[in-house]
Amino acid sequence: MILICGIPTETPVALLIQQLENNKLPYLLFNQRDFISTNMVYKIVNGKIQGTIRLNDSTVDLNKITGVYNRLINFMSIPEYEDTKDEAVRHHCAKLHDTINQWLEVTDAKVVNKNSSMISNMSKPFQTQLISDFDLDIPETIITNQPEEVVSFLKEKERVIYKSASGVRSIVQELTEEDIPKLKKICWCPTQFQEYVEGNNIRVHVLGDQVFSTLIKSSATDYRYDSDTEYIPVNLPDTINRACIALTKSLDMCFSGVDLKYDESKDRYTCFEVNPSPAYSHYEKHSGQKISHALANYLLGNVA
Amino acid sequence: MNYIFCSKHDQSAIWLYQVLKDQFDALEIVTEDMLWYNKSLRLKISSNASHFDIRLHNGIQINSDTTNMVINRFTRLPADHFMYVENNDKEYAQSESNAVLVSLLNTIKGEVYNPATANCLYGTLKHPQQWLKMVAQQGGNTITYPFEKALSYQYVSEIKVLVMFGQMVFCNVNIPEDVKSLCLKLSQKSNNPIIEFTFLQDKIGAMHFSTANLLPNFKEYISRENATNIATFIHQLVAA
Repeated sequence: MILICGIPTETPVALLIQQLENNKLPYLLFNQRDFISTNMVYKIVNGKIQGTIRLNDSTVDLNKITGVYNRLINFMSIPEYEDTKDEAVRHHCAKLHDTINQWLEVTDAKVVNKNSSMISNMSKPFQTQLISDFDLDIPETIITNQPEEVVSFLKEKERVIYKSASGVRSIVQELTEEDIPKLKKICWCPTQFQEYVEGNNIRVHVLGDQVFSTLIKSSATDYRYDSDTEYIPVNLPDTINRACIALTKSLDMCFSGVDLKYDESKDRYTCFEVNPSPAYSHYEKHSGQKISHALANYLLGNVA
Repeated sequence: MNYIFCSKHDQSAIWLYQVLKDQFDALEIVTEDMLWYNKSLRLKISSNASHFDIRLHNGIQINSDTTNMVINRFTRLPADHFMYVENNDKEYAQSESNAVLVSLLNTIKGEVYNPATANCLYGTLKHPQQWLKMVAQQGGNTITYPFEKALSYQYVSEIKVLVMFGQMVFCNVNIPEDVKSLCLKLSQKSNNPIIEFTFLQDKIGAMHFSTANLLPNFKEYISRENATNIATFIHQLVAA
């Protein structure tokens, strides 16, 4: 049995549910907004988990769950949590999420993805270092609190972007001459600067040993907000596919969204990031690639 | 050079530094404040290699390429300089600083005990349940989770075991070889070369794994006499 955890109207969750319903496949749903009528209890005896999850009126043995799609959002953002002033309800919500999150770490079910496997994304430069162990280029990066270092990096690379080092406020901006007087502020917090890499964006969704690659053609800085963006399914070289699969596995993920850029003039693939909870639905909707179908099969254990 | 990275309040790490420094000259202690309120910091990451260089105000220069060994007990970066910053911005700046420090610690070419992870500066943090499962997978006995206080009468004593550098086992009482071997395996599997395990011993003498701690109090295990073993280990590491 598959368990889906999250908000059912959120598009990656909705698409998976639609896929399972179209194929008349059974699933359980933990709708976070229904946290009041949900409960999970279990214990671990000699390494074995014994317990149940109650979802509305039905109670299910946790050992019957063989696949989990984890799209849990921060419980503090759930409207029913935000709106209530009842401390007992808030406590139940917090405890339930803690229990589910801990269970996800220890269950023998296939979990897409465990929270612990998402942590490398909390330090982008650390993740970049991990990426460099594979057959993928990474953008040259400096992190410094010295403005003169940044100026010389800009001089050397000609085009430089700056972005968050953590998973918070992930906004990418290009460094311009007008920004240089502001650089003195970096003395308070070392800041990440990266060479600007030319080329087309490619999103590679890795699911176990399967790869779905989408070439993105757009003239906008952020293609997600450009209505003219084209999403084209592509086949990448085997070496790149293998590197993306190996990288995903090394980060202990089953499902990832690997962000690449391909510079045709240099035949160079540069990897920027591995997203541990990819919003695959956006790419499926525009490219027609059947990622949700593959995800359903993966969770059902039909494919490796 | 070799370093102990720790908080300025970490009495255990400061004590270890004093004990080792008697026998090992190439060792410095660097606190979170010393590292973060630096003169200059530069980390470069590229496909070929990563490298950092930090100049501290006391003249120490820490370089990723010439650092042989670090005992890493950093817990949190100082945030005094963000005192007057709004809470949201403060949290953001702290996330940024942590993200940078994790990357820095993973750039060191020598051995780092324990390697930082993106959610814990001083090692690979695991929930008690994950430890219990891991112990059971390695064939060890565990307490039941959640631990029921009503059943604590089954246990007669608590035994703590320290693993240093993933190779040395310290315990103040004699423990069976299979428990020593279990501790070494857990240290290796969890990627925490310095770690303390707590066991509860039942009436027939069997040891049941209870918890793990990544910031052990060295003073409970290491005397000035057996500190020589640790100094020798570091010497060998540097020589290698």
